[in-house]
Amino acid sequence: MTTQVDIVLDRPEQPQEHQVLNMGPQHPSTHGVLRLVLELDGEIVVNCEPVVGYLHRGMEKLAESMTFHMFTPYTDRLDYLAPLANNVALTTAQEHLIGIEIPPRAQAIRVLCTEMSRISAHLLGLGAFAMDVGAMTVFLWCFRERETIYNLIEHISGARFTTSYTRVGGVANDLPDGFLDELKAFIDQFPEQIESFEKMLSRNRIWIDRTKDIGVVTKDEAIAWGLTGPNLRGAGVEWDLRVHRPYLGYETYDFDIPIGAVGDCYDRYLCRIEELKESTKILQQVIAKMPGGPVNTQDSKISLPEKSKVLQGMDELIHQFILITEGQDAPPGESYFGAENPKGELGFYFRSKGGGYPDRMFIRSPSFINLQVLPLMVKGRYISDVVAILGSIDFVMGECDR
Amino acid sequence: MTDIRTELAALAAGIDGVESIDDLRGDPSFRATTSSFHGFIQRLRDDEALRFTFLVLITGADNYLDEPRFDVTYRLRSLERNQDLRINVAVPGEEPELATVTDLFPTANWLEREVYDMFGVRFSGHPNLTRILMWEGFEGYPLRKDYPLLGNTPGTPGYLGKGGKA
Repeated sequence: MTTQVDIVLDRPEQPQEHQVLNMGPQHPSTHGVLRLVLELDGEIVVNCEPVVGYLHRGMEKLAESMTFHMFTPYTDRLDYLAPLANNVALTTAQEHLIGIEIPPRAQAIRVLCTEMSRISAHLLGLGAFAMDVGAMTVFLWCFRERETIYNLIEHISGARFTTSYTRVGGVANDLPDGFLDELKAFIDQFPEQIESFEKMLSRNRIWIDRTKDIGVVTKDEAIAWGLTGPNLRGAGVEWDLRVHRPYLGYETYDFDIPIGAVGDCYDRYLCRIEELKESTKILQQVIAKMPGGPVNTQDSKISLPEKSKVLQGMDELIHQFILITEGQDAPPGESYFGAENPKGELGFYFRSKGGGYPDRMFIRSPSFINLQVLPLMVKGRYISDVVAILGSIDFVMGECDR
Repeated sequence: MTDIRTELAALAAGIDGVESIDDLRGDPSFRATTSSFHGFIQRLRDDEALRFTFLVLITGADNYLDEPRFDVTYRLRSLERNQDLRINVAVPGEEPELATVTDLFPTANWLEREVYDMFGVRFSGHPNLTRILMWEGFEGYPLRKDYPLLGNTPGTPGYLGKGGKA
Protein backbone atom coordinates (compact mmCIF):
# COMPACT_ATOMS: atom_id res chain seq x y z
CA MET A 1 0.00 0.00 0.00
CA THR A 2 2.89 2.33 0.64
CA THR A 3 3.85 2.15 -3.03
CA GLN A 4 0.49 3.69 -3.93
CA VAL A 5 1.23 6.63 -1.66
CA ASP A 6 4.58 7.19 -3.31
CA ILE A 7 2.99 7.39 -6.74
CA VAL A 8 0.91 10.36 -5.65
CA LEU A 9 3.79 12.18 -4.06
CA ASP A 10 6.24 11.55 -6.93
CA ARG A 11 4.34 13.40 -9.65
CA PRO A 12 3.62 16.86 -8.35
CA GLU A 13 4.17 18.65 -11.69
CA GLN A 14 1.55 16.60 -13.53
CA PRO A 15 -1.82 18.30 -13.77
CA GLN A 16 -3.92 16.82 -11.02
CA GLU A 17 -7.63 16.47 -11.40
CA HIS A 18 -9.01 16.00 -7.96
CA GLN A 19 -12.51 14.88 -7.35
CA VAL A 20 -14.48 16.02 -4.31
CA LEU A 21 -16.63 13.38 -2.66
CA ASN A 22 -19.11 13.92 0.14
CA MET A 23 -19.13 11.03 2.58
CA GLY A 24 -22.09 11.42 4.86
CA PRO A 25 -23.93 12.83 6.72
CA GLN A 26 -26.01 9.69 6.17
CA HIS A 27 -23.24 7.24 5.30
CA PRO A 28 -23.68 4.13 7.44
CA SER A 29 -20.01 3.77 8.29
CA THR A 30 -19.76 7.26 9.77
CA HIS A 31 -21.63 6.08 12.89
CA GLY A 32 -24.04 8.97 13.00
CA VAL A 33 -24.35 12.28 11.29
CA LEU A 34 -20.74 13.01 10.37
CA ARG A 35 -19.97 14.47 6.98
CA LEU A 36 -16.55 14.10 5.42
CA VAL A 37 -15.53 16.18 2.44
CA LEU A 38 -12.91 14.03 0.74
CA GLU A 39 -10.62 15.33 -1.98
CA LEU A 40 -9.67 12.35 -4.09
CA ASP A 41 -7.00 11.54 -6.60
CA GLY A 42 -8.47 8.42 -8.13
CA GLU A 43 -9.14 6.28 -5.11
CA ILE A 44 -6.59 7.94 -2.86
CA VAL A 45 -7.54 10.57 -0.32
CA VAL A 46 -5.56 13.78 -0.81
CA ASN A 47 -7.39 15.85 1.75
CA CYS A 48 -10.21 15.36 4.19
CA GLU A 49 -12.34 17.86 6.03
CA PRO A 50 -14.72 16.56 8.70
CA VAL A 51 -17.90 18.64 9.04
CA VAL A 52 -19.56 18.28 12.43
CA GLY A 53 -22.48 19.94 14.17
CA TYR A 54 -25.45 18.13 12.65
CA LEU A 55 -26.49 16.84 16.07
CA HIS A 56 -25.85 20.05 18.01
CA ARG A 57 -28.57 20.50 20.61
CA GLY A 58 -27.10 23.37 22.60
CA MET A 59 -26.63 21.36 25.79
CA GLU A 60 -24.20 23.86 27.29
CA LYS A 61 -26.70 26.69 26.87
CA LEU A 62 -29.47 24.59 28.37
CA ALA A 63 -27.30 23.69 31.37
CA GLU A 64 -27.08 27.34 32.38
CA SER A 65 -30.74 27.41 33.29
CA MET A 66 -30.87 24.07 35.07
CA THR A 67 -30.07 22.80 38.53
CA PHE A 68 -27.45 20.08 38.76
CA HIS A 69 -29.98 17.26 38.91
CA MET A 70 -31.93 18.55 35.95
CA PHE A 71 -28.98 18.14 33.63
CA THR A 72 -28.38 14.43 34.36
CA PRO A 73 -30.86 13.13 31.72
CA TYR A 74 -29.05 15.17 29.06
CA THR A 75 -25.86 13.23 29.69
CA ASP A 76 -27.68 10.04 28.65
CA ARG A 77 -27.74 11.60 25.20
CA LEU A 78 -24.04 12.49 25.06
CA ASP A 79 -22.26 9.21 24.47
CA TYR A 80 -25.43 7.19 24.06
CA LEU A 81 -23.48 3.93 24.04
CA ALA A 82 -22.37 4.40 27.64
CA PRO A 83 -25.05 6.51 29.37
CA LEU A 84 -24.23 5.22 32.85
CA ALA A 85 -20.59 6.27 32.54
CA ASN A 86 -21.70 9.77 31.48
CA ASN A 87 -24.03 10.02 34.47
CA VAL A 88 -21.16 9.08 36.76
CA ALA A 89 -18.77 11.56 35.12
CA LEU A 90 -21.24 14.45 35.39
CA THR A 91 -22.25 13.79 38.97
CA THR A 92 -18.67 13.28 40.13
CA ALA A 93 -17.74 16.58 38.48
CA GLN A 94 -20.63 18.32 40.24
CA GLU A 95 -19.51 16.84 43.56
CA HIS A 96 -15.98 18.04 42.82
CA LEU A 97 -17.39 21.56 42.35
CA ILE A 98 -19.58 21.46 45.45
CA GLY A 99 -16.83 19.71 47.43
CA ILE A 100 -18.45 16.60 48.88
CA GLU A 101 -17.42 13.02 49.45
CA ILE A 102 -19.77 10.13 48.81
CA PRO A 103 -20.09 6.92 50.89
CA PRO A 104 -17.98 3.86 49.93
CA ARG A 105 -20.94 1.84 48.70
CA ALA A 106 -22.00 4.62 46.32
CA GLN A 107 -18.42 4.81 45.02
CA ALA A 108 -18.30 1.06 44.41
CA ILE A 109 -21.67 1.13 42.63
CA ARG A 110 -20.42 3.94 40.40
CA VAL A 111 -17.26 2.02 39.53
CA LEU A 112 -19.48 -0.92 38.68
CA CYS A 113 -21.63 1.31 36.44
CA THR A 114 -18.62 2.81 34.66
CA GLU A 115 -16.97 -0.52 33.96
CA MET A 116 -20.20 -2.12 32.74
CA SER A 117 -20.63 0.81 30.37
CA ARG A 118 -17.05 0.49 29.22
CA ILE A 119 -17.59 -3.16 28.32
CA SER A 120 -20.80 -2.32 26.50
CA ALA A 121 -19.29 0.65 24.62
CA HIS A 122 -16.13 -1.21 23.63
CA LEU A 123 -18.23 -4.14 22.43
CA LEU A 124 -20.17 -1.84 20.15
CA GLY A 125 -17.00 -0.07 19.04
CA LEU A 126 -15.39 -3.40 18.25
CA GLY A 127 -18.47 -4.86 16.58
CA ALA A 128 -19.09 -1.83 14.39
CA PHE A 129 -15.41 -1.58 13.48
CA ALA A 130 -15.37 -5.25 12.49
CA MET A 131 -18.57 -4.90 10.49
CA ASP A 132 -17.22 -1.87 8.63
CA VAL A 133 -14.31 -3.90 7.34
CA GLY A 134 -16.50 -6.88 6.56
CA ALA A 135 -16.55 -9.19 9.59
CA MET A 136 -20.27 -9.54 10.25
CA THR A 137 -20.02 -12.40 12.74
CA VAL A 138 -18.12 -10.43 15.37
CA PHE A 139 -20.77 -7.72 15.22
CA LEU A 140 -23.53 -10.20 16.00
CA TRP A 141 -21.52 -11.83 18.79
CA CYS A 142 -20.80 -8.43 20.36
CA PHE A 143 -24.47 -7.51 20.26
CA ARG A 144 -25.42 -10.74 21.94
CA GLU A 145 -23.15 -9.84 24.87
CA ARG A 146 -24.38 -6.25 24.96
CA GLU A 147 -27.93 -7.53 25.27
CA THR A 148 -27.01 -9.16 28.60
CA ILE A 149 -25.42 -5.93 29.82
CA TYR A 150 -28.50 -3.94 28.86
CA ASN A 151 -30.64 -6.34 30.86
CA LEU A 152 -28.34 -5.80 33.85
CA ILE A 153 -28.48 -2.02 33.40
CA GLU A 154 -32.27 -2.22 33.22
CA HIS A 155 -32.22 -4.00 36.56
CA ILE A 156 -30.21 -1.25 38.23
CA SER A 157 -31.80 1.84 36.78
CA GLY A 158 -35.11 0.79 35.25
CA ALA A 159 -34.11 1.86 31.75
CA ARG A 160 -31.88 0.34 29.12
CA PHE A 161 -30.52 3.49 27.50
CA THR A 162 -31.78 6.60 29.29
CA THR A 163 -30.53 5.59 32.69
CA SER A 164 -30.13 8.89 34.64
CA TYR A 165 -29.07 6.74 37.56
CA THR A 166 -26.74 8.95 39.57
CA ARG A 167 -27.63 11.75 41.97
CA VAL A 168 -25.43 14.40 43.53
CA GLY A 169 -24.20 12.69 46.69
CA GLY A 170 -24.77 9.11 45.55
CA VAL A 171 -27.04 7.10 43.29
CA ALA A 172 -30.81 6.99 42.79
CA ASN A 173 -31.39 3.67 44.52
CA ASP A 174 -29.49 0.71 45.90
CA LEU A 175 -28.70 -2.32 43.76
CA PRO A 176 -31.65 -4.72 43.47
CA ASP A 177 -31.56 -8.06 45.30
CA GLY A 178 -29.55 -10.72 43.55
CA PHE A 179 -28.02 -8.27 41.10
CA LEU A 180 -24.42 -9.05 42.03
CA ASP A 181 -25.03 -12.76 41.37
CA GLU A 182 -26.45 -11.99 37.94
CA LEU A 183 -23.49 -9.78 37.15
CA LYS A 184 -21.11 -12.45 38.40
CA ALA A 185 -22.70 -15.01 36.10
CA PHE A 186 -22.09 -12.66 33.17
CA ILE A 187 -18.53 -11.84 34.20
CA ASP A 188 -17.64 -15.51 34.66
CA GLN A 189 -18.52 -16.43 31.08
CA PHE A 190 -17.28 -13.19 29.50
CA PRO A 191 -13.51 -13.95 29.22
CA GLU A 192 -14.42 -16.92 27.04
CA GLN A 193 -16.34 -14.58 24.73
CA ILE A 194 -13.41 -12.16 24.50
CA GLU A 195 -11.26 -15.10 23.51
CA SER A 196 -13.67 -15.98 20.73
CA PHE A 197 -13.53 -12.37 19.39
CA GLU A 198 -9.76 -12.58 19.43
CA LYS A 199 -9.82 -15.92 17.64
CA MET A 200 -11.98 -14.39 14.94
CA LEU A 201 -9.85 -11.29 14.41
CA SER A 202 -6.39 -11.06 15.95
CA ARG A 203 -4.70 -13.44 13.51
CA ASN A 204 -7.21 -13.12 10.71
CA ARG A 205 -5.39 -12.37 7.45
CA ILE A 206 -8.09 -10.01 6.11
CA TRP A 207 -8.39 -8.16 9.40
CA ILE A 208 -4.64 -7.63 9.65
CA ASP A 209 -4.45 -6.43 6.02
CA ARG A 210 -7.20 -3.93 6.67
CA THR A 211 -5.88 -2.57 9.99
CA LYS A 212 -2.08 -3.01 10.31
CA ASP A 213 -0.05 0.14 9.58
CA ILE A 214 -3.22 2.02 8.68
CA GLY A 215 -4.08 5.32 10.33
CA VAL A 216 -0.81 5.58 12.23
CA VAL A 217 -0.55 8.25 14.93
CA THR A 218 2.78 8.56 16.69
CA LYS A 219 3.21 9.20 20.40
CA ASP A 220 4.05 12.89 19.97
CA GLU A 221 1.25 13.46 17.48
CA ALA A 222 -1.25 11.83 19.82
CA ILE A 223 -0.27 14.19 22.64
CA ALA A 224 -0.18 17.28 20.42
CA TRP A 225 -3.64 16.50 19.02
CA GLY A 226 -5.03 15.98 22.51
CA LEU A 227 -6.17 12.39 21.99
CA THR A 228 -7.44 10.54 25.04
CA GLY A 229 -8.66 7.07 25.87
CA PRO A 230 -7.78 3.99 23.81
CA ASN A 231 -6.65 6.25 20.93
CA LEU A 232 -3.93 7.80 23.11
CA ARG A 233 -2.96 4.52 24.72
CA GLY A 234 -2.94 2.80 21.33
CA ALA A 235 -0.24 5.28 20.31
CA GLY A 236 1.91 4.09 23.21
CA VAL A 237 1.29 6.78 25.83
CA GLU A 238 0.70 5.32 29.25
CA TRP A 239 -2.02 7.63 30.56
CA ASP A 240 -5.21 6.62 32.27
CA LEU A 241 -7.10 8.96 34.58
CA ARG A 242 -8.24 6.02 36.66
CA VAL A 243 -4.61 5.31 37.55
CA HIS A 244 -2.99 8.75 37.40
CA ARG A 245 -5.83 10.73 39.01
CA PRO A 246 -7.70 8.08 40.96
CA TYR A 247 -11.33 8.94 41.66
CA LEU A 248 -14.17 6.88 43.15
CA GLY A 249 -11.61 4.66 44.88
CA TYR A 250 -10.03 3.33 41.67
CA GLU A 251 -6.69 3.20 43.52
CA THR A 252 -7.96 0.20 45.51
CA TYR A 253 -8.49 -1.97 42.43
CA ASP A 254 -5.74 -3.87 40.72
CA PHE A 255 -5.64 -3.46 36.94
CA ASP A 256 -3.17 -2.66 34.16
CA ILE A 257 -3.08 -0.02 31.44
CA PRO A 258 -2.75 -1.66 28.01
CA ILE A 259 -0.70 0.39 25.54
CA GLY A 260 0.00 -0.04 21.84
CA ALA A 261 3.34 -0.04 20.05
CA VAL A 262 2.77 1.58 16.64
CA GLY A 263 -0.45 3.58 16.95
CA ASP A 264 -2.26 2.05 13.98
CA CYS A 265 -5.82 0.74 13.76
CA TYR A 266 -4.70 -2.71 14.85
CA ASP A 267 -3.13 -1.33 18.04
CA ARG A 268 -6.27 0.56 18.91
CA TYR A 269 -8.25 -2.63 18.38
CA LEU A 270 -5.88 -4.57 20.66
CA CYS A 271 -6.12 -1.85 23.33
CA ARG A 272 -9.90 -2.13 23.37
CA ILE A 273 -9.75 -5.92 23.63
CA GLU A 274 -7.31 -5.66 26.55
CA GLU A 275 -9.46 -3.02 28.23
CA LEU A 276 -12.41 -5.41 28.08
CA LYS A 277 -10.30 -7.87 30.08
CA GLU A 278 -9.17 -5.20 32.54
CA SER A 279 -12.76 -4.03 33.09
CA THR A 280 -13.75 -7.63 33.77
CA LYS A 281 -10.98 -7.80 36.37
CA ILE A 282 -12.19 -4.60 38.04
CA LEU A 283 -15.79 -5.83 38.09
CA GLN A 284 -14.72 -9.07 39.77
CA GLN A 285 -12.96 -7.06 42.48
CA VAL A 286 -15.95 -4.74 42.95
CA ILE A 287 -18.26 -7.72 43.40
CA ALA A 288 -15.84 -9.37 45.84
CA LYS A 289 -15.53 -6.38 48.13
CA MET A 290 -18.79 -4.47 47.70
CA PRO A 291 -19.06 -2.47 50.92
CA GLY A 292 -22.33 -2.07 52.82
CA GLY A 293 -23.89 1.10 54.13
CA PRO A 294 -25.90 3.92 52.59
CA VAL A 295 -25.79 4.81 48.88
CA ASN A 296 -26.22 8.54 49.45
CA THR A 297 -24.52 11.15 51.62
CA GLN A 298 -26.46 11.76 54.79
CA ASP A 299 -26.24 15.53 54.30
CA SER A 300 -29.83 16.66 53.79
CA LYS A 301 -28.64 19.81 51.97
CA ILE A 302 -27.17 17.56 49.26
CA SER A 303 -29.19 14.41 48.73
CA LEU A 304 -32.93 14.06 48.41
CA PRO A 305 -34.84 12.58 51.37
CA GLU A 306 -36.83 9.37 51.08
CA LYS A 307 -40.17 9.93 49.40
CA SER A 308 -42.13 8.19 52.19
CA LYS A 309 -40.62 10.54 54.77
CA VAL A 310 -41.35 13.62 52.65
CA LEU A 311 -45.05 12.92 52.90
CA GLN A 312 -44.92 12.69 56.70
CA GLY A 313 -42.12 14.87 58.06
CA MET A 314 -41.80 18.65 58.06
CA ASP A 315 -37.99 18.78 57.74
CA GLU A 316 -37.90 16.34 54.86
CA LEU A 317 -40.62 18.25 53.03
CA ILE A 318 -38.65 21.50 53.35
CA HIS A 319 -35.41 19.87 52.18
CA GLN A 320 -37.14 18.21 49.26
CA PHE A 321 -38.72 21.52 48.23
CA ILE A 322 -35.47 23.48 48.47
CA LEU A 323 -33.42 20.83 46.64
CA ILE A 324 -35.91 20.58 43.79
CA THR A 325 -36.47 24.32 43.33
CA GLU A 326 -33.07 25.79 44.17
CA GLY A 327 -30.72 22.85 43.88
CA GLN A 328 -27.52 22.17 45.76
CA ASP A 329 -25.60 25.27 46.74
CA ALA A 330 -22.25 25.40 44.92
CA PRO A 331 -19.47 27.77 45.98
CA PRO A 332 -18.45 30.49 43.52
CA GLY A 333 -15.39 29.60 41.45
CA GLU A 334 -14.22 27.36 38.64
CA SER A 335 -13.64 23.63 38.69
CA TYR A 336 -12.80 20.92 36.20
CA PHE A 337 -13.12 17.19 36.56
CA GLY A 338 -12.28 14.65 33.89
CA ALA A 339 -13.34 11.02 34.02
CA GLU A 340 -11.90 8.15 32.01
CA ASN A 341 -14.87 7.20 29.86
CA PRO A 342 -14.92 4.48 27.19
CA LYS A 343 -14.17 7.04 24.45
CA GLY A 344 -11.58 9.03 26.38
CA GLU A 345 -11.55 11.84 28.88
CA LEU A 346 -15.05 13.20 29.41
CA GLY A 347 -14.54 16.37 31.40
CA PHE A 348 -16.94 18.90 32.84
CA TYR A 349 -15.76 22.45 33.40
CA PHE A 350 -17.98 24.42 35.75
CA ARG A 351 -17.96 28.12 36.39
CA SER A 352 -20.21 28.95 39.27
CA LYS A 353 -21.33 32.24 40.75
CA GLY A 354 -22.81 30.47 43.75
CA GLY A 355 -26.25 28.91 44.03
CA GLY A 356 -27.73 25.90 42.33
CA TYR A 357 -27.23 26.89 38.68
CA PRO A 358 -23.87 26.87 36.88
CA ASP A 359 -22.99 30.16 35.22
CA ARG A 360 -21.21 28.23 32.49
CA MET A 361 -20.69 24.57 31.84
CA PHE A 362 -18.33 23.22 29.22
CA ILE A 363 -18.30 19.58 28.17
CA ARG A 364 -14.86 18.40 27.11
CA SER A 365 -16.06 15.69 24.83
CA PRO A 366 -13.48 13.08 23.83
CA SER A 367 -15.19 12.30 20.52
CA PHE A 368 -15.00 15.94 19.38
CA ILE A 369 -11.30 16.21 20.10
CA ASN A 370 -10.36 12.71 18.89
CA LEU A 371 -12.14 13.24 15.58
CA GLN A 372 -9.94 16.21 14.77
CA VAL A 373 -7.00 13.94 14.04
CA LEU A 374 -8.85 12.16 11.21
CA PRO A 375 -7.40 14.21 8.29
CA LEU A 376 -3.90 13.36 9.52
CA MET A 377 -4.73 9.67 9.57
CA VAL A 378 -6.46 9.37 6.19
CA LYS A 379 -4.17 11.44 3.98
CA GLY A 380 -2.60 9.26 1.28
CA ARG A 381 -4.84 6.27 1.97
CA TYR A 382 -7.63 4.57 0.03
CA ILE A 383 -11.29 5.42 0.56
CA SER A 384 -11.86 1.97 2.01
CA ASP A 385 -9.21 2.72 4.63
CA VAL A 386 -11.19 5.79 5.70
CA VAL A 387 -13.94 3.44 6.81
CA ALA A 388 -11.51 1.32 8.83
CA ILE A 389 -9.94 4.40 10.42
CA LEU A 390 -13.33 5.84 11.36
CA GLY A 391 -14.18 2.55 13.03
CA SER A 392 -10.93 2.48 14.94
CA ILE A 393 -11.29 6.04 16.31
CA ASP A 394 -14.63 4.97 17.83
CA PHE A 395 -16.49 8.23 18.22
CA VAL A 396 -20.13 9.07 18.88
CA MET A 397 -21.70 12.09 17.25
CA GLY A 398 -24.08 12.70 20.15
CA GLU A 399 -21.08 13.47 22.29
CA CYS A 400 -19.13 15.23 19.57
CA ASP A 401 -21.83 17.77 18.71
CA ARG A 402 -23.36 18.11 22.18
CA MET B 1 11.85 16.69 42.54
CA THR B 2 11.05 20.22 43.65
CA ASP B 3 7.52 21.32 44.24
CA ILE B 4 5.86 22.09 40.92
CA ARG B 5 3.97 25.06 42.38
CA THR B 6 7.21 26.83 43.27
CA GLU B 7 8.56 26.20 39.78
CA LEU B 8 5.38 27.52 38.20
CA ALA B 9 5.33 30.58 40.44
CA ALA B 10 8.96 31.32 39.54
CA LEU B 11 8.20 30.97 35.82
CA ALA B 12 5.10 33.18 36.07
CA ALA B 13 6.98 35.85 38.04
CA GLY B 14 9.45 36.18 35.16
CA ILE B 15 6.76 37.14 32.63
CA ASP B 16 5.06 40.53 32.58
CA GLY B 17 1.30 40.41 32.78
CA VAL B 18 0.98 36.95 34.37
CA GLU B 19 -0.18 36.63 37.96
CA SER B 20 -1.21 33.71 40.15
CA ILE B 21 -4.83 33.53 41.24
CA ASP B 22 -6.67 31.34 43.73
CA ASP B 23 -8.58 28.31 42.60
CA LEU B 24 -11.60 26.73 44.21
CA ARG B 25 -10.16 23.21 44.16
CA GLY B 26 -6.49 24.09 44.45
CA ASP B 27 -5.23 23.70 40.85
CA PRO B 28 -2.42 26.13 40.00
CA SER B 29 -4.17 29.02 38.25
CA PHE B 30 -3.01 32.13 36.49
CA ARG B 31 -4.53 35.23 34.98
CA ALA B 32 -2.70 36.52 31.92
CA THR B 33 -3.18 39.53 29.67
CA THR B 34 -4.01 39.20 25.98
CA SER B 35 -0.43 40.11 25.08
CA SER B 36 1.37 37.83 27.55
CA PHE B 37 -0.59 34.57 27.53
CA HIS B 38 0.81 33.16 24.28
CA GLY B 39 4.40 33.54 25.44
CA PHE B 40 3.50 32.05 28.81
CA ILE B 41 1.87 28.99 27.25
CA GLN B 42 4.85 28.55 24.94
CA ARG B 43 7.26 28.67 27.90
CA LEU B 44 5.17 26.13 29.79
CA ARG B 45 5.14 23.79 26.79
CA ASP B 46 8.84 24.06 25.98
CA ASP B 47 10.22 24.05 29.53
CA GLU B 48 12.25 20.84 29.88
CA ALA B 49 11.33 20.32 33.53
CA LEU B 50 7.62 21.16 33.29
CA ARG B 51 6.59 19.84 29.84
CA PHE B 52 2.98 21.08 29.71
CA THR B 53 2.56 19.46 26.31
CA PHE B 54 -1.11 18.44 26.52
CA LEU B 55 -3.89 20.95 25.94
CA VAL B 56 -7.01 19.72 27.73
CA LEU B 57 -9.48 22.41 26.76
CA ILE B 58 -10.10 25.96 25.61
CA THR B 59 -13.39 27.50 26.48
CA GLY B 60 -15.01 30.86 26.99
CA ALA B 61 -17.39 32.49 29.41
CA ASP B 62 -19.46 35.63 29.23
CA ASN B 63 -19.55 38.19 32.08
CA TYR B 64 -22.45 40.08 30.54
CA LEU B 65 -22.70 43.75 31.62
CA ASP B 66 -19.21 43.60 33.14
CA GLU B 67 -15.96 44.63 31.50
CA PRO B 68 -13.84 42.90 30.35
CA ARG B 69 -16.74 40.91 29.06
CA PHE B 70 -15.24 37.58 28.02
CA ASP B 71 -13.02 35.15 29.84
CA VAL B 72 -11.15 32.56 27.79
CA THR B 73 -9.84 29.61 29.79
CA TYR B 74 -6.96 27.36 28.79
CA ARG B 75 -6.26 24.17 30.66
CA LEU B 76 -2.86 22.55 30.16
CA ARG B 77 -1.55 19.25 31.43
CA SER B 78 1.89 17.85 32.02
CA LEU B 79 1.72 14.09 31.53
CA GLU B 80 5.20 13.54 33.01
CA ARG B 81 4.51 15.51 36.19
CA ASN B 82 0.81 14.57 36.36
CA GLN B 83 -0.26 18.16 36.90
CA ASP B 84 -2.98 20.39 35.45
CA LEU B 85 -3.03 24.16 35.38
CA ARG B 86 -5.50 26.79 34.30
CA ILE B 87 -4.87 30.10 32.56
CA ASN B 88 -7.62 32.70 32.27
CA VAL B 89 -7.41 35.53 29.79
CA ALA B 90 -9.84 38.44 29.98
CA VAL B 91 -10.99 39.71 26.57
CA PRO B 92 -12.82 43.03 26.08
CA GLY B 93 -16.37 43.01 24.75
CA GLU B 94 -15.62 45.45 21.93
CA GLU B 95 -14.08 43.49 19.04
CA PRO B 96 -12.87 40.56 21.16
CA GLU B 97 -9.66 39.17 19.71
CA LEU B 98 -6.88 36.87 20.92
CA ALA B 99 -3.78 35.30 19.41
CA THR B 100 -4.23 31.70 18.32
CA VAL B 101 -2.37 28.82 19.97
CA THR B 102 -2.81 26.50 16.97
CA ASP B 103 0.89 27.06 16.27
CA LEU B 104 1.67 25.41 19.63
CA PHE B 105 -1.08 22.79 19.84
CA PRO B 106 -2.81 21.49 16.68
CA THR B 107 -5.74 20.37 18.84
CA ALA B 108 -6.57 24.03 19.54
CA ASN B 109 -7.95 24.32 16.01
CA TRP B 110 -11.49 23.04 16.64
CA LEU B 111 -11.57 24.30 20.22
CA GLU B 112 -10.87 27.86 19.10
CA ARG B 113 -13.40 27.54 16.31
CA GLU B 114 -15.94 26.53 18.91
CA VAL B 115 -15.17 29.54 21.13
CA TYR B 116 -15.51 31.76 18.05
CA ASP B 117 -18.76 30.05 17.09
CA MET B 118 -20.32 30.36 20.53
CA PHE B 119 -18.92 33.67 21.84
CA GLY B 120 -17.65 35.55 18.81
CA VAL B 121 -14.11 35.83 20.15
CA ARG B 122 -11.80 36.00 17.14
CA PHE B 123 -8.44 34.23 17.12
CA SER B 124 -5.91 36.05 14.96
CA GLY B 125 -3.65 33.77 12.95
CA HIS B 126 -6.07 30.83 13.05
CA PRO B 127 -5.85 28.82 9.80
CA ASN B 128 -9.60 28.38 9.32
CA LEU B 129 -11.72 30.45 11.67
CA THR B 130 -15.25 29.44 10.68
CA ARG B 131 -18.28 28.24 12.59
CA ILE B 132 -18.12 24.62 13.65
CA LEU B 133 -21.24 23.50 15.54
CA MET B 134 -23.64 26.10 14.15
CA TRP B 135 -23.98 26.42 10.39
CA GLU B 136 -22.37 29.00 8.11
CA GLY B 137 -24.64 32.00 7.85
CA PHE B 138 -26.04 31.66 11.36
CA GLU B 139 -26.34 35.04 13.03
CA GLY B 140 -25.40 35.73 16.63
CA TYR B 141 -23.35 33.88 19.18
CA PRO B 142 -25.51 31.42 21.13
CA LEU B 143 -23.58 31.13 24.38
CA ARG B 144 -23.48 34.88 25.01
CA LYS B 145 -25.74 35.76 27.89
CA ASP B 146 -27.74 38.22 25.79
CA TYR B 147 -28.65 35.49 23.29
CA PRO B 148 -32.16 34.27 24.17
CA LEU B 149 -32.72 30.73 25.36
CA LEU B 150 -36.03 30.46 23.53
CA GLY B 151 -37.25 32.38 20.53
CA ASN B 152 -38.69 32.47 17.09
CA THR B 153 -35.85 33.56 14.85
CA PRO B 154 -36.21 33.59 11.07
CA GLY B 155 -33.76 31.23 9.42
CA THR B 156 -33.52 28.79 12.31
CA PRO B 157 -35.02 25.28 12.31
CA GLY B 158 -38.48 25.29 13.85
CA TYR B 159 -39.28 28.86 12.84
CA LEU B 160 -43.03 29.26 13.12
CA GLY B 161 -43.47 32.36 10.98
CA LYS B 162 -44.44 35.86 12.07
CA GLY B 163 -46.44 35.92 15.27
CA GLY B 164 -45.75 32.23 16.00
CA LYS B 165 -44.90 31.09 19.49
CA ALA B 166 -41.83 28.98 20.10
